[in-house]
Amino acid sequence: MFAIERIRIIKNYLLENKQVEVNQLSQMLGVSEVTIRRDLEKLEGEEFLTRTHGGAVLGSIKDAVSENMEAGSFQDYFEISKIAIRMINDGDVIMLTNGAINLEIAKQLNSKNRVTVLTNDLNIAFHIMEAQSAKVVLLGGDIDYNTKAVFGTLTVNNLNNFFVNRLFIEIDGISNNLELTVSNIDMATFIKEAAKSANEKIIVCTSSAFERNSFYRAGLIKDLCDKLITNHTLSDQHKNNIFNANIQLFTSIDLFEGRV
Amino acid sequence: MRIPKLEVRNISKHISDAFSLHNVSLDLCSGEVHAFIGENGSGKSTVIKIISGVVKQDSGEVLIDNEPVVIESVAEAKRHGIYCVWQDINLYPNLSVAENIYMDHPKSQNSFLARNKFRMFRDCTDIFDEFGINIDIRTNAGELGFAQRQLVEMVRAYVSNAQIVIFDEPSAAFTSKEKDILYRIIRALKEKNTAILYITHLLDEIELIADRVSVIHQGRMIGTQTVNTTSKDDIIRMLAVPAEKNRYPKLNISVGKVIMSVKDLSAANILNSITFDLKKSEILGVTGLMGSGRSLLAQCLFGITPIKSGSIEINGQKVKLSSPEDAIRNGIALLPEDRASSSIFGCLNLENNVTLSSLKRFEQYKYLHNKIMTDVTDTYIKKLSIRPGNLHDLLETYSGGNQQKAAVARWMMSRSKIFILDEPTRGVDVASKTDIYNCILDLVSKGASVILISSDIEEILGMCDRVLVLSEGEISGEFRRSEATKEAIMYKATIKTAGSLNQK
Repeated sequence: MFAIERIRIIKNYLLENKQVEVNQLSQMLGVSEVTIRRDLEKLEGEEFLTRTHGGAVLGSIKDAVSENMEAGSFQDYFEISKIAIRMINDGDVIMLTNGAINLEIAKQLNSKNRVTVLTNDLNIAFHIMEAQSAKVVLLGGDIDYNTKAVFGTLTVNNLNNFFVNRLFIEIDGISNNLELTVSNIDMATFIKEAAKSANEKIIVCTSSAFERNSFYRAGLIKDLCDKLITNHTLSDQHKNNIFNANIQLFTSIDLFEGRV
Repeated sequence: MRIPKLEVRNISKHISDAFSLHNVSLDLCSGEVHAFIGENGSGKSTVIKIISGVVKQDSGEVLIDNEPVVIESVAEAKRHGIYCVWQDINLYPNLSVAENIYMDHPKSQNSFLARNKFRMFRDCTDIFDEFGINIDIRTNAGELGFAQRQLVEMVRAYVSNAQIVIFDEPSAAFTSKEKDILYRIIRALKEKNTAILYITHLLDEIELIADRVSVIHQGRMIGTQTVNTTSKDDIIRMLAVPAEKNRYPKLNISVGKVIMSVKDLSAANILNSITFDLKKSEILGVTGLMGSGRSLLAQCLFGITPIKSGSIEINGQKVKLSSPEDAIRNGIALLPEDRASSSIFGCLNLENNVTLSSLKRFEQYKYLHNKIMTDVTDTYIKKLSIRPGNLHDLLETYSGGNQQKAAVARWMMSRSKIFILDEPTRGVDVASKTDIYNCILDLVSKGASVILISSDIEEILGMCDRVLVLSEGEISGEFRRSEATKEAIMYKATIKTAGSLNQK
């Protein structure tokens, strides 16, 4: 097989899967691992991928890893945030609650112009500041060391000064009767308050959130949500429930590879 | 007040999680034409299936002459004098038209062979002459066209002397001449004091022949009105129950330059001077009633039906699409309306079904690179949640929704530019529906264009950037997303027929 064919296949594979292992490619293409490593090196030169131990991930190194990310969920976060970013218009005032998916959204804001971001997440604020990709307003309050975000009465009072076009709420769990739950009482209060001053409410979570319940109730989905973005592994039963609850359900299919 | 011939009282029927009938009541008097309207999937067919004994209700009752009856089977419905003219007609293909008409006629039931064949032919000829039907009664029914078969079925209803006749959208496939015959038959039935339930989509027909009209929406009755005290606008208002636009996922993707432009296209004596543009990353909705030519348009754009005049340009270049191959080469994909007969190969396995249109990309030294092909197919199956999703499963064992997703996967893999989706979510479960909507979003967000043909107006309103409304083969309306409403679309879809009816 010619090198160019191989590289095209590796590229397509990475575009679909976001990450790949050397031995996997070597088996798939029937060439030695050394050859594959050379191909990956070449693609890294094009900033198409970043080599990791035993494989490669799509994209350049700056975006690749985040501290508080669960292993293997980068792809889910990335795909969910890609849909979310399409909901943001130039000039929007958005709010990102604390969480890893919302951080991923913040990282992609450089494709938008004149966006103002309101957030309670220090990481998000920090990242936008570094990238200078948007105007950022950081809410004040008590810092929670686990989530690296601010909560509490101060934050809620602070929040009442603003109104946002779009609110992206990242939640931890959704119960079978479509109730949203989070792992922190202050966060539940914060989400309830934030929802009051937003035009459009968008929930982001991985499909694994549907398999678990957290302890604190933030409210029913119909009150807190116009749109829901999750990844494609969501079960049919949940797709059914959400559609019937008249909520726009976006799943990250990210499949089409047309060169149009 | 008159005692109704047939009454349906508080009928409920659970069909699926997505649809059930809720306390539907309806009455039908002798000598009356009662029009029954509602969108596709609103429950019209379920109601008539209950009346004619095809399915049984969960609760509620059916009364004939004010007596509750239990209709367990179609035969029993016939004994109660109920005759139903279905959309898909089953005539005996190797019997003559006349024999078909008198097949289960009460008079001929016991002595069919004894009955004088000449008399039967003579009676039949008389009736055909009376209604002006131009079909040779000696031809075998199998040789007739769809509309002709339907006319035969209607005559059969006429001679059956049934006291209750139900028509299920009879005029959908009819030309105006055949419609005239239909109306003549209905008037004759009315004179015989028959009670007629008439399912239709065409508002003009209601004004023309019906005495009362009932509207059903999502399994619930909206109301019943007397026709001569109700205006067409009132009926449209009853039909246009607020659309649930919210639940359709839609992203604001900015559309690009014109990618396909159709100019003055006419075909098959139905489509007439169709002109429209399709832009890059656009979802263009096409809707219209049955017989408006919406599927025919798809077939023309995919090279199945030859176009009589007009032109199709892709990227500014005039193209000739004389076969599906031409269309595919020009980057056009068609997901046809009838999944079972024109899109899915039930006897092939899932992998073969999905890769069918993309074999070229897996070619290696004249062979297929099976490992890569399997790997890519597996990704598609996982991403689209095609279940159970084993590559070697025969597709005929899959549910409708999963079959449809396999068909969607096939075209996505082919990396086409223009996707024509004809009723992609009809007969598909809710979960698969949401997957298909998200596929559409994936396509347009990566620069492909979609023509979404659907009779589900809510789906059209929810998904499309722009909507074309077809009526009798012409574009009768065009709406941008912001200005499209259910009422306006319905008006454009039904109103044009008024013009052609009044001309006569």
